[in-house]
Amino acid sequence: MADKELIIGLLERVRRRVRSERRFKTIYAILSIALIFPLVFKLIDLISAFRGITVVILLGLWAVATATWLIWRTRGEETLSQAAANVDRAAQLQDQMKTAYWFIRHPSTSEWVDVQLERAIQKAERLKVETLYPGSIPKTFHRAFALMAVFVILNFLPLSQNHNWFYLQGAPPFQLSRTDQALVDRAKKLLEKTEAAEELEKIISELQQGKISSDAAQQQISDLRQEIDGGNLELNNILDGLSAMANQLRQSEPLESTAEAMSAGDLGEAADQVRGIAEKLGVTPADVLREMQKNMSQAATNSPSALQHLSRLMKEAAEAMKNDPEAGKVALDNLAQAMEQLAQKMKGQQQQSQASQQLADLQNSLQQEAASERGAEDAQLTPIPSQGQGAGGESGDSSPNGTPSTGNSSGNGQGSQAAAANSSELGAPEDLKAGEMTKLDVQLKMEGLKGQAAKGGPPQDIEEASKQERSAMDYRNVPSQLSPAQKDALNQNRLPREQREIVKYYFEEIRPRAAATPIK
Amino acid sequence: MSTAIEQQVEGFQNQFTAVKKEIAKVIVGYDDIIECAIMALLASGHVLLEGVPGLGKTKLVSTLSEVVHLKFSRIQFTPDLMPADITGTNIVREGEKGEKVLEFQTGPIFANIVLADEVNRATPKTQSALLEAMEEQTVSVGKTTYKLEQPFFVLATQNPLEMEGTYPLPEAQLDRFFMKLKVEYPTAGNMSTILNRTTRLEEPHVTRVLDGPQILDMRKTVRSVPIARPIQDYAVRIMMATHPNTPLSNPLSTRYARCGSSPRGAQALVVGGKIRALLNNRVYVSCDDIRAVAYGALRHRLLLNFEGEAERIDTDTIIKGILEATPETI
Repeated sequence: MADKELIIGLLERVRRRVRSERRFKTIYAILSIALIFPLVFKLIDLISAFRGITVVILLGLWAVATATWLIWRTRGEETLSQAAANVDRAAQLQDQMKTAYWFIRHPSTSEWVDVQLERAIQKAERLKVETLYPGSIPKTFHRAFALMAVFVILNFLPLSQNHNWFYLQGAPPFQLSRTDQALVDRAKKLLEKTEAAEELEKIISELQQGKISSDAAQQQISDLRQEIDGGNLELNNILDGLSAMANQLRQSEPLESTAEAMSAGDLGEAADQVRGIAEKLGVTPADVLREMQKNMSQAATNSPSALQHLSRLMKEAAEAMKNDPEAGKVALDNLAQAMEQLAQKMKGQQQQSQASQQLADLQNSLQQEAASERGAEDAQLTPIPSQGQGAGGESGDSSPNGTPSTGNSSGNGQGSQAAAANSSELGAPEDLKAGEMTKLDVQLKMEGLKGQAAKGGPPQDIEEASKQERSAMDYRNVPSQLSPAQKDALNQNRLPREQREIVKYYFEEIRPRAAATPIK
Repeated sequence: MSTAIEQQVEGFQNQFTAVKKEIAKVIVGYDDIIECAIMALLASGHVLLEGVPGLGKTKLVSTLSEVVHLKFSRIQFTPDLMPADITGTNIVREGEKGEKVLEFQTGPIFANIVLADEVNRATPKTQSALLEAMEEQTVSVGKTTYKLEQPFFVLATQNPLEMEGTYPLPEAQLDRFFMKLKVEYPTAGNMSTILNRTTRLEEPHVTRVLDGPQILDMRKTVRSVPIARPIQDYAVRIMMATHPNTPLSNPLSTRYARCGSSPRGAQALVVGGKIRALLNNRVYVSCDDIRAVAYGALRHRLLLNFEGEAERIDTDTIIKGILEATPETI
């Protein structure tokens, strides 16, 4: 009986060995197939990024399916009969162990069976399981390893659009385009270390995380812009006040260069000029001093509320100059300092204005993207309020004498309106037919120009464009609001078939009535 | 105890080898056929040898009969051969007192080794005369049944069925053959040896190495070899796979076979396997043994359907498909 246990022991060892080998082979075989799926998903993800939740669901489903497959395939155990058949195959025993195991389980009184068992026992003693089943790495292991390595490499590829699935990263719910991202970056740089920058950061972050919709983000950006542009109103008042003060100071010759700098909004230069005047104060003739003191007093008196501090210092300087040149010098220095501080403040506000412009562009871009998602037709017909009504309405109307940047906003707004009207024309010719003549409802303010007498004096022609109406930005840099299709339509020499009727109608409308007589 | 069995196995191998060696003195090549013919003799079966004329079928049988010390008779089957010409008949004979008595005159079937030469040249009626003798080892004439002397071994030769003037053996007759062996043309090398042996003055002589009792002992030895149930099941699965439209059918059988093997086929597989195991110094049957005898044991038991006949499918092709598709263990 103990001898028969030898065969059973051998078969047990073989069974364990075969089972572990089978399981390893099965696991690697399944992995070598199953890993193809996440790899394909990852490749697709590199082209068109999946959202985080999609990644989690995909990986979860894959993991569950793979685990189920693994369990299903590796479940069950080999019987000793199967182990006997296996060892027969491995050692080429021609079913000796299978037969022996059968006769162990089904004892027989035959001497022949005893002989068979005896021979099988002798054979079992000589068999080494480790030799029969040498440990080997299955071929599928290499494939599975390679697939896994590629998957890991793909996840850690240093690409901007790549998301590491090992950290369950995925594409944000809302992906900013490169242009939009550039606009955001520029706006943040301009709004550096301000609350507005943090607010913008928060809006963009919430938009990307899907906490707010694109429409809500546009609204919040619009609110942020209004907040930023609120400071621009003060800037406009300052500029207006500086211009008025400059007009007054220009009456005095020593203050002419200072007035010029103030009129140009360059308070740094104006401060330098004031310091120059202070240096020369001791040698300045008394009548000139008086005239300066008088003009400075008048300029300080007529200044707007935004320049109260500056006007107070100017008034003090005028008073000091009248009494004591040394005290006047100190007062002028104080005035120069105040001018520099104001220059700093204006610079900050100009940056904010530029940031507002960037945000306006961003808002417009987001709106266009949303419109294109809803449908191309809607996108064409929808007017773009952010430029024509937002930027133009807020800064253009309220500050006709504004800084170049503010004026730029205004210009951009008008351009947008034109673009919107254009698109409206292209999209709905019947509206065009029913339309009436329109005009710009803008009342331009009078402005003071260099070399023009404040009051009286002979009139003169100035071959120069208005400073306020000149855009600081090259027209080529103004972003077009037209879609590529619209641009193509404008650049074509041939008229598109669907637009021909509109053009014909247009020329018929503008044709002089007298020439409309048919030629005989 | 085990030594006795091992000696028995060794003796079996020696006797088998001796017979084979003696036959090989006359018959060139055909080692497999000689071996299978001896196997059939030791398995208490009969052999059907098929081949075109002139390949040495009859010579093989006559040589075998010379090697074993047994009574041999030869029946040349012809279309006008009658059953009584095989079994024998009652004749009227004058008794000692002058009375008329019926006496049974035994036919050529009453021998240990019977050569049924060109068995398919006789009519099916005459062919059927062998049925009882081959299976029950008895001959019934009138109301009397005569037992045939043991060992009784029929070796039939037949020409391929396509040849002129042949009658196909009935299924029942075919099934009684333990094996059907196909005699092919000898190779060029063997042909040269055949010419050397048969075209000279002196002819090879064989000696008798086996007698009837020894054959019967060897038959007992064969039957003693144990076979484990999984191996036996394997033989059963192979046999069942020859049947069309059964759960164990092989697709080839389903398509081309009209009728599969009878249980005699499975018996032939097992007994043939046992002999082969002994020849390989084993005291158990393996699946290899079953496979080795499968062609000879099953090829004549598979009957082709119309499609199989039309496409000239060889039954060996079906058996090959079955052997490839049937798993050793389930």
